[in-house]
Amino acid sequence: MISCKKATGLIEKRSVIGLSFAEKFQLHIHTAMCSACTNYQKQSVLIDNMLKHTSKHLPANIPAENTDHVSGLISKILNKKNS
Amino acid sequence: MTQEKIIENWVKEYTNDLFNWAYHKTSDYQSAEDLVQETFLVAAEKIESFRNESQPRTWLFGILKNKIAEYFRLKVKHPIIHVEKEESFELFFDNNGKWNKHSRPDEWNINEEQLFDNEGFNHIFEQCMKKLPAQWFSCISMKYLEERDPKLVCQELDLSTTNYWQIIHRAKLQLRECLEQHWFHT
Repeated sequence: MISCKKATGLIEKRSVIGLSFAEKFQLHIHTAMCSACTNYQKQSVLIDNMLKHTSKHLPANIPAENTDHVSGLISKILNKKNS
Repeated sequence: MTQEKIIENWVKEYTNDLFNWAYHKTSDYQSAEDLVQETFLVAAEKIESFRNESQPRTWLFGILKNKIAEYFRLKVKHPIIHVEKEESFELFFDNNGKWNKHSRPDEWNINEEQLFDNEGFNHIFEQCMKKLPAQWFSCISMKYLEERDPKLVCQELDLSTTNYWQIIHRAKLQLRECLEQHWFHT
């Protein structure tokens, strides 16, 4: 049987380029018997969904420092342009 | 309105949104500032090609997104921290590739939708992302930036697909453990 290291690798490989038939089979057998890797598999999907979510939405709370940066940045860009 | 005046208005109107987006992507104030400045430079150069067919906001965001992709490409090609492959796996697995006791994934009892809108979790997630080595952070970010074909992303990053998923593997192991330690076990 493949190791947990290999199994978790296959879980990530699947999400990037997919698996061969043999790899799918190896992974299936492994996760059927390993609760830790079954948990990993679910959590890996959850993290993927979270990453998709954050890449589309701005966080609800924008850090207060950002506002200071923005006003500084606006004058920086405008001064550069006029000089 | 002169072109100068148009750009000036855009700077005043859109810098805030562009900056917050760039910061959200890079988690770095200096980089976010640079990216927004470069975006307006490109906008000023190419203003002739802007024909009011799209909203200025959409057009500017398009330029910014290209700049962000370029930023990640550079980070992957010139990684600041080089982590040895086996060394980073040793944290999680023993010599036989079995989970180390402290790294074994536990079950997370969660409601996904509530979790994603939870401010506390979002904060922890962001902190855990920031702890990733720069190259891994860039690889993971590129994967989700526009949900592009992974093969295309690899080409852009100059990585083989095998290298790419191996980096994703290590990054996800670290991210998962960080979330478990700082959120699910507290």
